[in-house]
Amino acid sequence: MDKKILESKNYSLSYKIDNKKKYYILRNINIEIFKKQKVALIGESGSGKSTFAYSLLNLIPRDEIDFCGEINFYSDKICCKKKFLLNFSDEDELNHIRGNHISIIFQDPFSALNPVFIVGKQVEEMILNHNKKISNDELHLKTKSLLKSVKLQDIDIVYKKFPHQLSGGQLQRICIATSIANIPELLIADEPTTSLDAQLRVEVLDLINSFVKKNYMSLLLITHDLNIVKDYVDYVYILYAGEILEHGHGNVLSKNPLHPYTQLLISAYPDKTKKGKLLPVIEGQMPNLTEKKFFTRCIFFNRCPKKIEKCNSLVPDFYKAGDSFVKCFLYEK
Amino acid sequence: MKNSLLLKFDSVSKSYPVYSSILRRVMSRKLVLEKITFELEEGKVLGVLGASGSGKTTIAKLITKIEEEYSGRIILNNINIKNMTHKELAKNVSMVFQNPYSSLNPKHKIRFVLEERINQYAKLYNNKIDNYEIKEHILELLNYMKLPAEILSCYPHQLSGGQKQRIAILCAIILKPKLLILDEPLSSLDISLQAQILNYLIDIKQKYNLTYIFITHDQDLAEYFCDNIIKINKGVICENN
Repeated sequence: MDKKILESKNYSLSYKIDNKKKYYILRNINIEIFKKQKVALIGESGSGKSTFAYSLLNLIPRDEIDFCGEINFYSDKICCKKKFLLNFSDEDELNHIRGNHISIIFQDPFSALNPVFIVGKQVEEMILNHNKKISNDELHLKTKSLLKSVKLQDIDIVYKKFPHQLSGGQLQRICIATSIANIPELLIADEPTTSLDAQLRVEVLDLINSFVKKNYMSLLLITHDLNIVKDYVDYVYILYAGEILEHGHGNVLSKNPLHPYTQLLISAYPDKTKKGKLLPVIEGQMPNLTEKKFFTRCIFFNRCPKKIEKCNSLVPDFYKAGDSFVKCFLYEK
Repeated sequence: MKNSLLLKFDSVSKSYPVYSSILRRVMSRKLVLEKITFELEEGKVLGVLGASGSGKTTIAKLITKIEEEYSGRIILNNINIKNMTHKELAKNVSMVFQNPYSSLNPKHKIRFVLEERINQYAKLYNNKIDNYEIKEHILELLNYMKLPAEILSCYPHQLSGGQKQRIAILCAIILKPKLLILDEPLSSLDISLQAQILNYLIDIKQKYNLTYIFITHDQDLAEYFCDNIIKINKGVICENN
C-alpha cells in the first residue's frame, strides 16, 4: 500500500459566534489520504466540507475558531517529515506549503482570480512565488506550457486576457493551471465543477484526473454530487452536519449505499426510470449546530426514516459492513 | 385526446450584432438561433437541452420579449407575441431564473417581494385586494411551499438556497401564468434540495394547470421531468423527441 500523505485524527472545529455561543461545524473527523489516492468528500451545503478543506491549508483566521484533534501532512519533500498543519504560526513556512505541497482549486473561478491582472501573469506569479530563481524566459515558457496542458486554445491571446474576458470553463482551466503549476503532492478541488455545464464538468474532471495520475499526486475532491465523481475517485467519505456518516470505495458506495442518509441522497437523483413518480425527499432540517444536545444522539436522528429507539439516546460508532464503514446502529453486530 | 397548442416557434432566427472595437460600428452579425421550429401543447413540459452558449436562454428571452428583434413567428395562445402588449404577456408567461439570489431585490424583505407581486396581479386583472386578503394569500402560499412564516421578515441573503428558489417560484406563480419558463432553476442547489423543488414543480403544475419550458444542461434531469425534449447545439435544433 502507498504511504499515507494526510490524515485528520479526531479533528473538531467550531466557529465562535459570541462569548457564549459556538457553531460546532466539524466533529471528530477521521480522514486518511494515501499517496496517489483520489478521495471524495461528499456533503450538502452547510455540512462543513469546505471548512475542512480550508482548515487543511490553515486558511481560516485563528481568532474565529476553536479546534482540537490533529491534521498531519506527511511529505517527502519537506525536511521535517511530519507536519501538524494547524500548529503552524510561521506564515512564510505555511505559504511555502500552500501552492507548493498542497494546492487548492476553488469553487468559483470568477472570484478566485484577481480581476485587475491578466491571467497569464497570475499563473506566472504562482510559479515565481515558489521558485524565485527562475529566469524570465523559462517562466514565460513554463506558463505557456501549463496553459497548453490545461487544453486552452489560442494561448498567446488567452495569456493577455483579464478574467472577465474569459468564459467560466476557461477560467476554471486557468485556476487548475495555477494549482498544478508546482506539482503539489496533494491537490484539493473544492466543488470545481459547480459553476460549469454538464459537458464542461466532465472535461474539467477528466483534466484534473489526468494531471493527478500523470504527476502521482493525491486528490481530495469536495462535492455534493456523488453521481458525477464516483467514476473518478477511489474512496468516498459522506459528511453530514459536520460528521462523517459513511466511508467506503466509490463504486461500492454508490451502488450499495448503507447509511439511510446516503441511501436517500442517491435515490433523490432524477433519471428516466423514475419518470412520473415523486422523488424521495429528506424531510426536516439539518440540526442547529450551535446546540450541543444534538451531539448526544445520532446526528441524522430527526430526519432518518429508519430510526430505532437507541438512536435518540446514544451516538453510534462506525460499524464495518461489507467493504464500507457506517455510523449507524442498524449495522451493529 | 390532444391538448390545445399553447406555444409555437415558427422558423425563428436571432442574431446579435458584432461591433468593431474602435468605432463601435456593426461589423457583422452572429447567429445564435437558426430557424428554430417547435410546438408546445398546454399542460406539457418541454425540455430545452444544450451546452452553455448553445442559445437555450435566448429562446426564453424571446418568449418573454426581453429580446424583441428576431425573424420568424412566435405564436403564444394563438396570438403572435409581436402583437402582444407587455401586460398581456405577463398574464401568459412567467420566468424563474437560474440564480434565485439575483432575481430577488436584496433591499426588500420577503413580505414586500410577495406583496408587490400580489398587487401586480391585482393590477393586471383589475381586481381589488385588501390588505387582509393579501396577508391571507401570502400565508396560504408559504404554507403550500412548506416555508415558515418567519421568513417574511427576512431579507433574501438570510435565506438558504432552497428557500430563495421556492420564493422565486412563488413570485412567478402568483401572476397565474399559463406558461412558466424555468431557466436552470436547480443548478445551484444540492441533490436533496433539487428533489424537493422538482416535487414542488410537479405539484404546482397540476394545481395551477401550468405548462413548463424547462431549460437545463442535465440530460438525466430532462428525461425525468420533461414530456418532450429539444436539443440545441450552436443555435440549431439537433434532436427533437
